[in-house]
Amino acid sequence: MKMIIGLSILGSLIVICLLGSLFSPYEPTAICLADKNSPPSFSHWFGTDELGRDLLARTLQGMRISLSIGVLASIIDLFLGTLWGTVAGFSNHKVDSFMMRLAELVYSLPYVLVVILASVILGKGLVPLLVAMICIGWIHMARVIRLLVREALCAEYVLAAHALGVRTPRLFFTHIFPNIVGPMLVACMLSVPHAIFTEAFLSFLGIGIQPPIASLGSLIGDALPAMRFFPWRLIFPATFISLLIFSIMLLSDGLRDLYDPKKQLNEGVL
Amino acid sequence: MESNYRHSATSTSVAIEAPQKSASFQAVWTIVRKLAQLSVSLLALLSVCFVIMHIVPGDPFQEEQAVPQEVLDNLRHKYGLDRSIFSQYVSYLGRVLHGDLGTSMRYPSESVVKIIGNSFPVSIHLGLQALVIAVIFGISIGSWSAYRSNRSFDVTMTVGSTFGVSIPSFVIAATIQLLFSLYWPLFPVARWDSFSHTVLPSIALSIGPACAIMRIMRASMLDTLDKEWVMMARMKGVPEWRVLLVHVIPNALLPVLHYMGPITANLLTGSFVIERVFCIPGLGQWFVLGVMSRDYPLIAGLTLFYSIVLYLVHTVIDIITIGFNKRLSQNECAR
Repeated sequence: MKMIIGLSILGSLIVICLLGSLFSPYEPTAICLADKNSPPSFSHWFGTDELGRDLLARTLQGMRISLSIGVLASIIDLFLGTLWGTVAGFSNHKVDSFMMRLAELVYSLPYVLVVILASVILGKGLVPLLVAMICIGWIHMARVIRLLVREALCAEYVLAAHALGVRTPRLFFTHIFPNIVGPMLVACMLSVPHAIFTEAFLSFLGIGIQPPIASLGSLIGDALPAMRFFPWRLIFPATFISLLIFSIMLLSDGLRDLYDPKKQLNEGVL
Repeated sequence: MESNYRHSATSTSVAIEAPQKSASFQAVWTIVRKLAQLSVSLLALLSVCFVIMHIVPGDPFQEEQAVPQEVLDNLRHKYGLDRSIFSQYVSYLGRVLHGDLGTSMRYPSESVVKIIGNSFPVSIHLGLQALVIAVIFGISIGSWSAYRSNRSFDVTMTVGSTFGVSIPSFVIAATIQLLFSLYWPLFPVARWDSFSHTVLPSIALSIGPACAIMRIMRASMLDTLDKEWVMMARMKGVPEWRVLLVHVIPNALLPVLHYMGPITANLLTGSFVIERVFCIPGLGQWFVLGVMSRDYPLIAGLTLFYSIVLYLVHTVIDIITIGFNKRLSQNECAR
């Protein structure tokens, strides 16, 4: 049920994103000072901002950026995390604890703080932001996957396979991997809203995506000083970002109920 | 029952490594290990801060007009920039250990320590107030909706809390500000003077963590309600309130306690935007200002400070968790 609602909201949002030009003929960065700050109307469905840029076009651009950052960051996280986590999970105690201590050094700091630090080094913009988020995000994934591998290694079917003389690569790919792929996907899904949150958060503060590219966070940040007089500039991006995260959250909740009824994986939001 | 308890303790909190050792030995050992880990992490963090300050291009003494080479050399010498990187690193560590985090580049009249001293009380006031609201509402609503699961209250609250964790804190803050101080002027719009100024920011900051606590509490409470000891207590005829307050809720609280660290981190980063929206002169504002203007000593000092605060919180949580476990295990023995 959760998954169906989440999927349908997410699906319609993606369709709206892809068909964006049908709804709004304007370029997201096209400035038209004649109708600045105009309220929602038939020509501008969501109104315009202080430079007369069409808000619908900008919101859709922001959503595209949010979605692509979320998906890209979590897929790369999943890849790196699987690599590190599997190697650590299969290694002997010393290597494993060394690899995990290394990961814990960064992990014990708050995620957003480290992303901000990394983006201070890497500079502002879309790609540095993505790199900064991946630098930190894969560690979480590695921890989750190492735990999954370790748990699987304790299971009896692995012992049986081992006793039958199955070698490690085959053991991983044919015995362990199919059993942990579900929880892995759940962890990956849970990290998508996290990435979207972080991007919006940093853009809101003005240290993420840089103008003239619109991001949902920076749209809300720009709308803030004038929200009393032009509330539509706040309401539309805020609704869309909440709906976006809500749908992904519902979807990943549903997935988790399916694969991990004991709820051992981390809460993705925190 | 014993094995069940052990299982839940190892999976949710500090690992109990050797059951044969005494509980107090374990507690001391865990604290020592945590302290060692803490100092290594802090050292690593200090090094990262040092690298950040030195890796960036540019020089604090680059001025628009030409400065004579001798003056530049003197300045460099005064701030130790002509020495080797290693000796600079050592002296940086020494200064930090003496509590000197340097001076802000952008606001040269303010030392970083002074900035922290002035604005941290505001931030901690806001954070604690939000934490209290989040814990009270999260735990009470979460446990009630688990107790009456799948009724209308539970369904509403589950959907509501999922929605609550989905809304970014700045959206909540802006909406609350728009509704309750601009359209319906119940509370002051911004700034930080009297108690009424603190109401809206605290609520805005607490909604996300409250919903997170609610979700965790509901899940762990549902888990605990299924345990044999609860059934046992009911079979013995223990009154329902006593089953809940003595047998269920203390056990269900452990996972919530386990998540208090991330929740505190969440509050801390949330305070960056809340302070921005409500113009509160707290530490988050300074941090954002520092990042925006690339004020490296300020960024490094505040990061260090934040991390120490968080480590302290983590350590306190760990100690509380150990205490909880001990009490529970004593109960277990007594029964």
